[in-house]
Amino acid sequence: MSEPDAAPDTVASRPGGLAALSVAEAGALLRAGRLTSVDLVEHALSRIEAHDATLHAFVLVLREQALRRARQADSDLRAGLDRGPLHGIPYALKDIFAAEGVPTTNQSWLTVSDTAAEDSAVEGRLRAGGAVLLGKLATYEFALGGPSRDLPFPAAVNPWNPEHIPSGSSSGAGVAVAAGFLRVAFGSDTAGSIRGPAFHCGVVGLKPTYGGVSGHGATPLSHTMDHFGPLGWTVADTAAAFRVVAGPDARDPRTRDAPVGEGPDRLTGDVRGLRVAYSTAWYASDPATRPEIVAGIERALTHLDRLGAIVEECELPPYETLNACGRIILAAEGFAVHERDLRGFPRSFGRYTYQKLMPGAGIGASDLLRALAVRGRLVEDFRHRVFAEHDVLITACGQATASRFDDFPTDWPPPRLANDMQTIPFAVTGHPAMSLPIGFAGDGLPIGLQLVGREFGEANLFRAGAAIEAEFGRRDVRPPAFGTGPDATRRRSDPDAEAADVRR
Amino acid sequence: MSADSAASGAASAAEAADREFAVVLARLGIDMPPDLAPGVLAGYRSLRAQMELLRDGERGGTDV
Repeated sequence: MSEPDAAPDTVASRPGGLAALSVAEAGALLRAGRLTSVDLVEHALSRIEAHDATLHAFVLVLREQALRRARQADSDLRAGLDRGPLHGIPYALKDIFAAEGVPTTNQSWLTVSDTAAEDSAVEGRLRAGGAVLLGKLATYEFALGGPSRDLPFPAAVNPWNPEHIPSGSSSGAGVAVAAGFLRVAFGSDTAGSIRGPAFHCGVVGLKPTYGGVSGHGATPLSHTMDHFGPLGWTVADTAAAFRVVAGPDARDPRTRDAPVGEGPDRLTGDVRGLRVAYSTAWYASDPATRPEIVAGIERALTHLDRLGAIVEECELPPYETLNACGRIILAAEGFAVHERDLRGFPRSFGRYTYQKLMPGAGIGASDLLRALAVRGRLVEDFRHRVFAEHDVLITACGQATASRFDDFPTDWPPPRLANDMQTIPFAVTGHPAMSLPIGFAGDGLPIGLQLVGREFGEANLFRAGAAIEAEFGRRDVRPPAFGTGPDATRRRSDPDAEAADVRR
Repeated sequence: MSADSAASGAASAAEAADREFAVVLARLGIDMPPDLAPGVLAGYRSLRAQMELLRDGERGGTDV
């Protein structure tokens, strides 16, 4: 069995100047007065200006507003007002989250002119936390469509190879974090829309527990499967971002009061005694699965075992049942959410989106209720088979590297789509699930694994994730265009790759 | 089952799904643009197979 291709230059070269600083590192410098939020924002803006014309991560860059918020964050810190772990840190939102006074286009002609009257819950918490909104990020239309060519904005491009998609629907979030525009970004995940772009862009993506993060002010797709959460360059960055946006919200009855896990400062890589379950049943014997992914997951498990975790094989419910459940529920709820416009304005949707939403019209009440009932049994099944005796489950996140744009025809479905994701089961069950990079496949594109936890067990995902992240040593590997990717020697160097520019 | 009969079975299942979906749209009073129909029908056929899988499970044919 082959090992995942290690990037040749994984030494600590600290590429990307300020972009290389983690949330905690940047925060410490901000608090020490050796760096300002304005510095971070200006650096991010210059990086976006240099590279986003080809990557298309952003649909809107809020230059002036971001600088205003950064100046306020700096002023607050100087006055001794520290609003939390993301204070002064730039971030961006998938363009389904409302931010007061800013358009929420949903990448749709139907809503391209809509401006939000108030903040979404996620944006409200980030604003209150002193973080700095840099702009809105590319999404598939209404968080569902695909890498379409008939929508208001161009589809985002995979920063590791521009001939490939970054996956979706939180495409811009994955691209922006991988490219070093941002340390953290926020997306939604209804069947894998955070974990897919994280997997294919080589970043960390957390789908929190269902109800862990409020969806108030975020455009819905499926009320019982929508999840909202962060993507980050590292596990610690992702954990910091999650802690800011997690928690109950009276405006979203799905949310619950529950612990949000240890802070990133507690992520020491200590996994002694952590009970880790794994199963290869869903992917290892499937010829569609790249051998590098199977090998990478084995390496992660071996590493956890070596560190003192208790690693044991478990039995999972049938993937096909989970997939069927998820597809039926999502299709029925997605059609219900968009029925009015599907009836009245079919031509205003992108072709993919219309063709993916309309089949939901054919789901009758009995089939939907059956799927909901089966979902309840599946949740119980996981509780008994996996989480009664284990803290974390490790399985595949996807089976293949990112598809090529050429694989997508004018109409849905693509005839030979080979990027089967295994993310939908945990959107069905609501368990927290995180996509974590484990290196690169032979084609130079990122691969990852999926960590799954008990309800509101995000802390264990961060704990195991930090240990695996250390083993794969990916922190200093950026996409090729930024000078440090797997084929860096054949690419131009990053003009921003000077040493971190901070005041000493 | 021969390859020919399997293909024939798949084709008739697809036709049945298409007819079923046409009835649904008529009942709901939805006009679907004809050029968008192939993608929608392909999606419905696939979804119908998922619904059948869960129905089979309820009848004891699948482990859920």
